Amino acid sequence: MAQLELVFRARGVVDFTQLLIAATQALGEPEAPTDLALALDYRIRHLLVDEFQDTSLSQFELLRRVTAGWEPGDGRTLFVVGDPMQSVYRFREAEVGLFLRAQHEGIGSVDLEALTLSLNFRSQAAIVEWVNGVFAQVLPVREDLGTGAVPFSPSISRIPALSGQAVTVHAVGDGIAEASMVVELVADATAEDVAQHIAILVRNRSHLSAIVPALKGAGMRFRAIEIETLFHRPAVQDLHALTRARCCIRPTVPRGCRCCARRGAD
Amino acid sequence: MLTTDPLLAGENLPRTPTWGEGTNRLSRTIWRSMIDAEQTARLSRDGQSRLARVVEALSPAIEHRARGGLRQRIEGGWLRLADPRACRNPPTWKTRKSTWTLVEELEQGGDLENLAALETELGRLHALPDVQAPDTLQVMTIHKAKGLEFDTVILAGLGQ
Repeated sequence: MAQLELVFRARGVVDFTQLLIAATQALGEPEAPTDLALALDYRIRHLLVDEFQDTSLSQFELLRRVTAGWEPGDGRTLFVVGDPMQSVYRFREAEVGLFLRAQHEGIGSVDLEALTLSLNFRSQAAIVEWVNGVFAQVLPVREDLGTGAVPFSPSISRIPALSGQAVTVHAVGDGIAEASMVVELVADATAEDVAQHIAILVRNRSHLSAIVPALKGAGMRFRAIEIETLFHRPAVQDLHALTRARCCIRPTVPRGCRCCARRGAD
Repeated sequence: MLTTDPLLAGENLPRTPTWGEGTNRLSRTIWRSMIDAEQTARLSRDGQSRLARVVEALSPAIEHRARGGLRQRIEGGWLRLADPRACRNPPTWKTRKSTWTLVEELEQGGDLENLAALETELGRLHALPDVQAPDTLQVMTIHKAKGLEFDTVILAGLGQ
């Protein structure tokens, strides 16, 4: 840590974690606030926090210190927004626990009133109903502060249900079969309405390894956003080799240069 | 191209282990071997002519490596080596432009201090979207789609 701080100082940079630590330290303990904390206490009237389900323990602590000494009815407000159902990952469980804790116990001396949003502006009613039915079974029945378990909170749609099947699940054998199925679905949707907007979504870029060539093979043009990596392309590979040649032919060995490091170990 | 030449391929590009027997001999760079007439005479005729082309293209930058920015030196070498036809191909050209920019950004005093950083950044380069494609069909990660709306959504790879 001390070494890291020296590097930060020498380069005049900090990372996000350091920023948070420094901010928290600058405010001091709630019982012994610093001059800065007192000055901010006077100036900050309203605080809004978005994506609160992803709040970490240290960020929670910072909020607690900024709002230390706030009293009910003094005109100051704390407004936090978040969707605990978005935080289903195990590595975030502690953070969902913080969301639930804030909901029930408030943050530091500030009590919070919980409001649940249930109106969906985006999806047609039949999709919202499908999600209501399926995710009520997927998510836990009861909330649990300790494990960060969050029950499903159903929504209602503002957009009337469209005719036809809202959600269809297709079971396919392998990646190649799936890619042909995707091409077929795109063709069907386009035939139905040529002007409609279609999205092919994946969790991971690697899931597109068969789909992108299949689309290209079918002559379908598409917009891919940050999908095709360039490192394997011959032009980039050649430049990489040239750069390494330039950097390595010299008396001192650059850091991270595998060829020189290996030679040094011989 | 450079990477397909066995003499220059892979990890051993700048230096080669000790030539000949005995441990007292000094290691020499591949570059020294490349310009050593005695060594190169052992290559095939085709190998010799390809090597000559590479040596000719690289020597200005290697012999005067302290001069000029790193980008200029690599770009010079590249242009001397490259197939001129490749330079007229717009997508490839775009790719190279991004790489040049990266080299420039990471260069410190005519050198790359951290080659691993260049490799990491190169891995993050992505092809530009096909701007001539209509926006009616889009491909992206679920993460990137947050906040967007479509008439039809196909979620692929859920079984993987």
